Amino acid sequence: MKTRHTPVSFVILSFTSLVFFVPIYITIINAFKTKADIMQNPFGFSLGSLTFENLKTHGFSSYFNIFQAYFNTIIIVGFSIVGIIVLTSMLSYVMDRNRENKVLKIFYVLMLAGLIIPPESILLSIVQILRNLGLMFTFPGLVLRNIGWYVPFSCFVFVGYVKTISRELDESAYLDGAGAFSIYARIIFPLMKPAIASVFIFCFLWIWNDFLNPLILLGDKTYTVTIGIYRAIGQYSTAWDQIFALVFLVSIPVLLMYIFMQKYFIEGLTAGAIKG
Amino acid sequence: MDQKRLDLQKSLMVCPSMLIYLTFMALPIALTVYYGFTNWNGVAPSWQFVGLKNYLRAFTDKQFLYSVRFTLVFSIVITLLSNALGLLFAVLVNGKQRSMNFFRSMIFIPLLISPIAAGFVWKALFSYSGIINQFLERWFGLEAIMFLGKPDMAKLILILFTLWQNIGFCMVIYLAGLQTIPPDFFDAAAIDGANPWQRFKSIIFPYLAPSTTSAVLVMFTSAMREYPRPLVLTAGGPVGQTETLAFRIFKVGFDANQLGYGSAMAAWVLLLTSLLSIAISRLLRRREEFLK
Repeated sequence: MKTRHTPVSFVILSFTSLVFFVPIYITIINAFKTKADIMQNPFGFSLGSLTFENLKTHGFSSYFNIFQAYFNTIIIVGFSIVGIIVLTSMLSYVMDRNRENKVLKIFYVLMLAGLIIPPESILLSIVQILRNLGLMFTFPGLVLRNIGWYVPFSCFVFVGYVKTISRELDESAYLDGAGAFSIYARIIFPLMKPAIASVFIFCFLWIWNDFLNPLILLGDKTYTVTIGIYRAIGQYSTAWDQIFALVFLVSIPVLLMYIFMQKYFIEGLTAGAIKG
Repeated sequence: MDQKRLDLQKSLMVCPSMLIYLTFMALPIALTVYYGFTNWNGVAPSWQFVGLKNYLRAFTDKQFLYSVRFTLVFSIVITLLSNALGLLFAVLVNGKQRSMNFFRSMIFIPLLISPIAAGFVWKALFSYSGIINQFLERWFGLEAIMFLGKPDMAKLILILFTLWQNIGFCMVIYLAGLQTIPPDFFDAAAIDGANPWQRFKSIIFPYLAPSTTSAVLVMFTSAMREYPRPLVLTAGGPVGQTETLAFRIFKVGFDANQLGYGSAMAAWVLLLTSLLSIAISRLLRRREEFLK
């Protein structure tokens, strides 16, 4: 379908974009201004007075280091996403090709519950489980929780996609003597790219921006980007220079991810994905 | 390869994710219900069973009941508005021109920013001595408005803030759905001389039924778990008026060391959210049947 802009739609879209952009504009320009400049005029800027001073002071203070925050978050996001993609794509492949299996059928129903429950309702219990496993306040504990949490979402996306991959492909490989794992690893997994892209994008976004789970499961000793800025800025701060500098710094990686993966955003979703 | 080895391979492929899911999703659900029957404080070595006491106490807990009501109304408003606007923008930006791409990005970008980070920016904008008030004062000579100090106003700002981040999500889901509508339908509609509204009503809206189901469910369940936005923007205030369910559960479960009662509330929330989600998805899936 093609839609052309009518004058009305153009006006609506321009106005909306403008309004949506205000908070982002304010953040970007003020991240590069001195405190005095921000106080004097938070809306405008003059090119001559832009400075990195603000980013430097607040990005590297005695209680918050932006590189430490990036590093911790990337470790958590990385391990979680690799775990989710590898483990759930295997599960989804076997699940789709063995639809009569009773155990898998029951598990499928159990997973439906995982799509609708609110995370806050099980967090108190997850703390107890991690304590018993000796994984409370550790990265592996948080990573395992993340993998468990995204099994249903990624499984539904993957099963939806594996369905569209012809079974003749695996049957001929099977006749050639290949096992289930090698069929998955050599034929199915490479074909799942669009579905993997959309799982990657959403899990990256959600885990990077997650606040509640790292806050409680990692404890006071370490921080991710969201916990770091929450503690650094504090509940009652009005230090605008610090707020804009830190918000700018923690948002950059996600914006970069969006720019690089932009073309997969809708493509990945369309490819049989997100149909529940 | 013989059948036995094949089965073993398959089991090894499904076991890790099943095991992790059962340990970190299924087991916690069971434990939550179980802790709800105890008076455990979360740290003591022993605890007693107290029967239904915690579960019944929730019904007389005014603060809990308030946050149930507030979170429900909030979730319904967010679900309806973000879907309506997401759908509208999806239809408006569905095209290949550069400008479409630009508008799409502008509406989508707020979703990328963490709710915590964005919360600080919105607070800087709307606090009493904030940027919006400065703007109103400087350019229009208006007096400063208590955006976050009055309950109704604070709720309105919280809703606008949440919509700002959610509309992009719905828009992308609907855009993906729009790509699946066969183009001949629109050609046929054009031949029949259908106007844009007729086209929307009889082609776009019905054919987007699967997208609607996904977007509505995701919006509803994510609003029912809202926590970071009110935490930063209003800290649950003024006077607890923007306290969502997650706020209540953590205040009781962690801060007040009443894990038993916190778990009982969590179990009620789990039941409520699950039942409503199932009802919504049943209702919406009926609309999808004609597609099969």
